[in-house]
Amino acid sequence: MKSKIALAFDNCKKEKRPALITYTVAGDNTKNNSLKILNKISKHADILELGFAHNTPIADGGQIQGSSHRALKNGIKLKDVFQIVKKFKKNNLKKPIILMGYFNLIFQNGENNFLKNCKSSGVDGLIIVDLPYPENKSFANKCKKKSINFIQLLSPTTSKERMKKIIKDSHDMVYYISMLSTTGGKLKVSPKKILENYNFIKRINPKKNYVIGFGITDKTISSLKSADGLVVGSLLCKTITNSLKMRQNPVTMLDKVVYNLKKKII
Amino acid sequence: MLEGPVFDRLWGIPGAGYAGKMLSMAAKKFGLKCKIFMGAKDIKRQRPNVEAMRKNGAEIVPVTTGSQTLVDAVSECMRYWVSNCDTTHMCVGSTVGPNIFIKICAWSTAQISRELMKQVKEEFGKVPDKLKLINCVGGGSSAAGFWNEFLNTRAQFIGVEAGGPKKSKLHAAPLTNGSKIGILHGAAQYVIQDKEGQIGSTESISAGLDYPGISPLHCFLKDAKRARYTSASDEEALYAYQLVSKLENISPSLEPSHAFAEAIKLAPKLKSSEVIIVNSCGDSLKDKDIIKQKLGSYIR
Ligand SMILES: Cc1ncc(COP(=O)(O)O)c(C=O)c1O
Repeated sequence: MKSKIALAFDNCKKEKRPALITYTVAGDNTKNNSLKILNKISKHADILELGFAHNTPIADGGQIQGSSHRALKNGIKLKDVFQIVKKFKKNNLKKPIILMGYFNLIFQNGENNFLKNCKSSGVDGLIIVDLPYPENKSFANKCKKKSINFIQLLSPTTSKERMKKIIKDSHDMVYYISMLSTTGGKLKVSPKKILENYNFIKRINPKKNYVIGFGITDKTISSLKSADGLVVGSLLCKTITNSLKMRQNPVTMLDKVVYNLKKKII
Repeated sequence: MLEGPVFDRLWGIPGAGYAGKMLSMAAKKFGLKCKIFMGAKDIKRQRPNVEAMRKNGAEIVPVTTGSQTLVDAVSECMRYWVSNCDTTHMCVGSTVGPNIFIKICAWSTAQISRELMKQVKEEFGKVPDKLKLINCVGGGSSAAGFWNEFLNTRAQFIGVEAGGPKKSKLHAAPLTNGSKIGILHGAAQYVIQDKEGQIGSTESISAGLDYPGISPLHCFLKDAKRARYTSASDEEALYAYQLVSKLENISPSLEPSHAFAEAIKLAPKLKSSEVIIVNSCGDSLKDKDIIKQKLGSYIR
């Protein structure tokens, strides 16, 4: 049976557009609001990434650090994250959800226990920032056995040899980090160059779905739309920060921003 | 001839500023740009070292996230490095971080024990049967360097972590206090954390020991029972600093004062045939502001 993630990509290919993948942090700015946000933006987004906050997020820039900080201040725990997914899935069974975070939370929760919770709440995939290949092999296999996508990361510094191995061991989706940066950096490489790298990777195994992330905003998204999927995160976290500053409702603000992103890639 | 990217920058992270001071000297010598990431709290409390780094032309980047100490500086330096690894080398000031950085650091500090081995043989003719090597441990670079050449001898290794203020629950002693294994800065290690896996906050009078994790090298030495780990409180370290400065012709900084505190505890219980060597790995000058604040005056 095809995974919901693979089906989402199939669907976008039929519509001749990239998948829009959003990233928000569970519990930002409140547990309730983050669920409302998912419900709203799922009308425009094809795949939803949901961050589980860690207080030492070494791969994240200021925007996502800020969101994580707000979520942790609200007392967000893993069990709340699973609750949010479960509630979301009640009304949106087909929409794929990917949890994204750092390995220590999984390690303390227990790998098997964590995957059990993923399964029962309806999580479709995982991105674990600080669990690189090949150290992630055993955990990625466990995910596969449970039909949960383990999403591998590639970057501009990944050698071709290494890329081949990583892609061979990947599941339905592979994440290409557009440039040397943390999340939230300004796009410092031209879209042309990014797509050059992207196409090179795509040729290694054209059957996989490759998404590009890091530095993608409403200004840059349309120039990359030939990719299988595009991930937008920091812009959304920043939108929440700004709406709180201006005392606006972050749910409606995010809805607008994601709608606008979608318009730019169809 | 150089091919490929040209590395013209060094970026590093010290806790107390020693590694940063050395790095800034190296950068100056080789004409490289140098950025040092330091917690804002540590910049304040380690002013003399910060001034030395600036004199060498290094740029000090204050890190204002989290506890504003070493753990946040390491995170921020790693973020900068992944963003600039095409032109920049990252130098980690302790045996922490991903695998290769631990090896580079421990290999470098091992020179201490090569010199120590020579001195010990000159003094005793051989490695004494009952020898204790006592060293403070923050990330663990200085202890790893102090012990390295003695791994295959019968020398006992004692690592002293920062116990924090006497009546506080906060400390920086994951090995002594039985912290669980977790992942911090790209390495599995015993680390202060809560049940969820969020990294815990620490407190120590000594900036260089104020880190929630500990090198995987030391986790291994503990599990293999090759080394023993204990802690000294802020107060014990301050007392040791005073006593050693009064009796000896040295003035240890607050990091090695933790090691001296353990020596002071142990010495009365030992026979005269037993030998203790303490690594006085830093000078008190960098801690003059803290010492003045705690004891009312600082005399060097
Ligand atoms: C003098 C001194 N000793 C010890 C340390 C602790 O580091 P490590 O545990 O890596 O030896 C530091 C760290 O800054 C230091 O400055």
